[in-house]
Amino acid sequence: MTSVVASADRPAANAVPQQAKIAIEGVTKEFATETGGTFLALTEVNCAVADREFVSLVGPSGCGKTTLLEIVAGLQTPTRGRVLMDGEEIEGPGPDHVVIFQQYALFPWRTVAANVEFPMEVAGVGRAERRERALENLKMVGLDGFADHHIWQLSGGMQQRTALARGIACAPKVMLMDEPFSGADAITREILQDLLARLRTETRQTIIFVTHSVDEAIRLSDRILVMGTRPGRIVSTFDVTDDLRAHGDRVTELRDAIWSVLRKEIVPIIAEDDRRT
Amino acid sequence: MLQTDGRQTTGMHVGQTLDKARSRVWRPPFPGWKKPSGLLGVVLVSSLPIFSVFLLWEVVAQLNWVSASLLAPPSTALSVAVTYFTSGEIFPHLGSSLERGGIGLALAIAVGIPLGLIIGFVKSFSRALSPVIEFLRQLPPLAMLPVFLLFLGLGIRSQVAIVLWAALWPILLNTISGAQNVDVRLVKAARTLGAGRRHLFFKVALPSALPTTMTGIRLGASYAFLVLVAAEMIGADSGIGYLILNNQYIFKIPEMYAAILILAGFGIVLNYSLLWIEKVLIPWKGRG
Repeated sequence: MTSVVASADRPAANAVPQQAKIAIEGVTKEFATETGGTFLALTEVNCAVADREFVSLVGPSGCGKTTLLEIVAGLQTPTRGRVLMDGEEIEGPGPDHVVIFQQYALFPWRTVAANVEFPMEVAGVGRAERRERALENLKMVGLDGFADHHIWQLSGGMQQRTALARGIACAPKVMLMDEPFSGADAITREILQDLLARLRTETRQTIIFVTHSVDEAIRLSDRILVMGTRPGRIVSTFDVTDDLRAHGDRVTELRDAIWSVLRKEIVPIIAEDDRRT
Repeated sequence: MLQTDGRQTTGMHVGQTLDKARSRVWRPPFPGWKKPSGLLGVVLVSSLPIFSVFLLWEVVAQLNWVSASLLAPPSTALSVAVTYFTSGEIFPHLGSSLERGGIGLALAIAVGIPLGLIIGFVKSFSRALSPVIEFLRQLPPLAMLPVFLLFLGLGIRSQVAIVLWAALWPILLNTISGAQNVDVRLVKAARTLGAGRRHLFFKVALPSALPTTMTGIRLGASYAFLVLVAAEMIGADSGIGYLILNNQYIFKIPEMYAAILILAGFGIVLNYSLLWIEKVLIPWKGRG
């Protein structure tokens, strides 16, 4: 890997490998509670995502995985620590680290193509060019022929494809996906997963993917980060390869290993909640 | 936070919910009744109640249960109304009502939407301005008429002013609430897609607020209509409101009822045109 970006005036942190596309450094997030105290949502999260890597964040609800993703997206600021993209600190949301949301977040007053054109429109791309590119992007997600449909005429799966096409239209350095398929039914979900896997090989996109489905994470990722809760943190890391995916017994083994980590995180919480109520 | 007119909007909502509930489960009013089918059936069912009202009115008037100096039968009123149109006598009145109402409503829209968007979008504006707006909107339009008459004199200007006053508040308040209640997910999405503050205003807040704004326009139009008629009775020498009251003064009772019927028709046409405009402008409403 030769494309190393490290600005001269700010030496890259030593702890982070030089080729990191995204470097999460000591990210801690505290929220003020209603009673005047603080709630520790994330503590000391460190992680480096390599160029073209597909990393999944898996964890029980409340482990702060969405908070972490929103910090990487620049939609929230960490209380301590920072997030670097190509060595530059992320200071706000932007199309080069676009987010694909669970609830699609499409603009209902725009047609399918006009939704995909939105990021190009705000970037000042000309009308004809953005239309052409939007049609290409729609073709990539298998929605050619639906360009001029209204959003409400589409099924949930097709709406998520539209959101995906809109994300691709940003030509992002990294795509951040927040449980993008958890609203879909089982069959649609499989189809969308296949689509994402294919897109990923086509575009060689760096992806950070939040999910609560272990199977989905195994199916799609190069690396799975398992998060624990109270406070939210990364507790384990698992590597996944195509070779592993080809062997059913090894997949089962991996799934069991991830689940045993998750169980350790979930059981004490359930016990604690039982005591409280 | 600024509130839209609670009574009005809630009332409409309850009505809509009831309509939906009714259309979902249809129960026959008595055993053996078949659900009306086809256009003819639907027209028959929906026109039956109104037809009954007219029939009752006709009977009461024709049998002289109420003196003819108080009540004219609807058949007479209708034929007079038709004559009003065939003779062309109605058009100057209809024209001046339309002119005053149209200009007033257009001004209210032109002021209310941009102002409402800005107030709703910029938090410090809504905090600073909401007490003023809350105070001003409590002033009933008809109470303001003497003020307008004082400043603008008898004639079109004070009539337009009162229509503007009546229509402005629902349009302004609904636009403010529409711009304040933009779906957070859409704002987040737009920001991650590269939208700056200007884009958020024009490409997210503005279209998001449109459905609520349109409800405000419909409310504003119906307030404007009510207020205009009353104002024409007080300080005008033309217009439908003037015509109704003047006919009463000179004991032209059938003519008075005819003018009232024309007014009602005018209101129905207005409401349906606005509903149609809403459908064309905001096809995504209720399907987001």
